[in-house]
Amino acid sequence: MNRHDNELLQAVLQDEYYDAAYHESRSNCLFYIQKRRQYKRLLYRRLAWSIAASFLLVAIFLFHNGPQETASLKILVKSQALKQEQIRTTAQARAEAVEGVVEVVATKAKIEIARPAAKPKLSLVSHGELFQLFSDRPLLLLQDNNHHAKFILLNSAGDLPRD
Amino acid sequence: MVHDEEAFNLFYATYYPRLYQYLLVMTKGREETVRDVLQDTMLRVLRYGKPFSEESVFWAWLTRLTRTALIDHIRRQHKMPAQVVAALQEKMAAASAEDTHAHLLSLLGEIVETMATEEWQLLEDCYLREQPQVAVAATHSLSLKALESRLIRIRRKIKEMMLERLKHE
Repeated sequence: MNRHDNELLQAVLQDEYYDAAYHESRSNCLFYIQKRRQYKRLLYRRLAWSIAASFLLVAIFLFHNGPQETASLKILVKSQALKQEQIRTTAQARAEAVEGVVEVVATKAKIEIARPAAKPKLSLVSHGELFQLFSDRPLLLLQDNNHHAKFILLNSAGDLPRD
Repeated sequence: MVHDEEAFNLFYATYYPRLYQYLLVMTKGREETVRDVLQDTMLRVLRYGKPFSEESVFWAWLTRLTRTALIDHIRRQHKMPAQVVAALQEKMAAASAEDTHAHLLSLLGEIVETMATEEWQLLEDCYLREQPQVAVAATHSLSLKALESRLIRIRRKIKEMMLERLKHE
């Protein structure tokens, strides 16, 4: 293809309309590039600021709250250990207490088993002379808690029999 | 930054005319469409541009980008069905940029042949023999301003004829 033909073709096509379109398009593209650069710069600046601010915040947090945090952590660990110890002690005490209770109960049971059942309490109701009619020995009319009457024959000396 | 500007200027000066010619044939001489699509293409180049090892690969990518921009433009304008757009895209892909340039040159050749001898002489002296305009003006007994305005008129006439022929293809 002839170079001159190309030049002629370009010269023919390159009129005022073409020139206007060319310059408009070129300036639009330049404007776009400029805006994109500005936007990127702004983006990077914001990113840098946010990173710096994050570092600063972390540093401040560590500087101010770091030792306290460590101390409180230590306290927490200690308190946890104490708690564990308490729990252990309580459990031990409980176990011992239960053993004690069992022993106490066992002892009580033994005692109760060993102790005979209490005899019903008797109270004197009337003098025995009243019943001397039926016996040479005086009789005692006694009444228990349930108001059941019981006659006891006294011995010759006028005392209660031993059994 | 300065290099970027230089590269941008070089890219624009080199590829804008080539893409303009390509789109002129693709759109059948519709200059308004060419203007819009070319603007869109250039913005796409800036947005999605990447380094290429070879010029031919870059040119192929550029023409594909241009075709896509044109298809999108047509779709926006006419809201075509997908099948029609696909067919159009296929047809466009078949016509390479070199073909379109050759087509424009052949159109130019046809039109130049129909021109008056005096007009052809002026064109030949100025563009094919690359004579200085002062010398051409002296040869044709014209003032420099008169020569310039005559050349503008001739060029405009050829362009109109070319666009007319493209429209009726």
